[in-house]
Amino acid sequence: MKNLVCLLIYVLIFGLVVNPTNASGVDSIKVKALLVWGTDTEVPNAPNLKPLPKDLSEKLKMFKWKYYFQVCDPDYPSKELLITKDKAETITLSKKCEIQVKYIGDSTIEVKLFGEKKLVLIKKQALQEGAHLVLAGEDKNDTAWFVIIGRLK
Amino acid sequence: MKKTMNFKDQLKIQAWIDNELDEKESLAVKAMVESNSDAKKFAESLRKFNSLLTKNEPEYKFPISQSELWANIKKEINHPQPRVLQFYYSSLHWLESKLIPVAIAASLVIIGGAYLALKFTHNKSTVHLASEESAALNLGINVLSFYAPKQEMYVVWVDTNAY
Repeated sequence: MKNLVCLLIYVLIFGLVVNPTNASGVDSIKVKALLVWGTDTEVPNAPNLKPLPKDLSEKLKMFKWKYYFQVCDPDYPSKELLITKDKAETITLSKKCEIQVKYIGDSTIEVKLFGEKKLVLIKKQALQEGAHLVLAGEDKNDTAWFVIIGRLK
Repeated sequence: MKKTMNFKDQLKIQAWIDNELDEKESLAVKAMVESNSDAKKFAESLRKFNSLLTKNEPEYKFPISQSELWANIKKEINHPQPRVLQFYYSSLHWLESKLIPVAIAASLVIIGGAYLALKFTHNKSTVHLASEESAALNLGINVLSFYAPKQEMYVVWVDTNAY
């Protein structure tokens, strides 16, 4: 019994020292943000709209709109951002939409959503790799906007 | 307009809209919604939110009603099965004679095993899923949020037409 207890203690210490993955010790995370528009119109008349990647399009099918397009403003191209801990990064998605993302540790981000320069929402969310945070709302003519923040691997 | 509805009221309204209340409670909530403008707007907002999703949301139903569940629990507390008691007392006697070494060994095995399992499995199991949010309420915004596990999406729906 004594040997068994000693063996278990050794295994525990070994697990603490050799630590191949430690999510709580990550100092930065990589994210990508997109502005998406949901509509029932198949071919909208706007040059700044492009189809979504298939995986994202499939995920958005839970909502009622038939089609989803990424809003692409050449002045504000979408990009991946590496956000270090306790540092806020601003991502401008369009002339009217901006988010500020801050990594506060333990896989948690704090997102501030600004619409026309006004603060609309502050959201803290623990986000695992491959998951998305979606901030959304209705737009005119029964359409909807989606700000999709994905954590990249 | 000053809000008179509290968080408990909001939960009741949600349950009412999802048809989870019994007849008595349902009538009470209905009366509250009809007499309170904030409650009415909240209920409308929830109904509108429900309409935003397609019919793909899985429905989970408990096999028996709440009242039946609590009646069964009360019955077990007041009149436990004899064989349960017998097993309980014999286990207790065994544990008393071997309590200290068994408890230590079992605790170490469980803690060590759980710790190693968490460390070497996918990151998903180590992520803390709690979230906090606040909305700029001075803009009259209502916020509804949920997690869609199949899509791995945390959704926050901003309803600017609630108030």
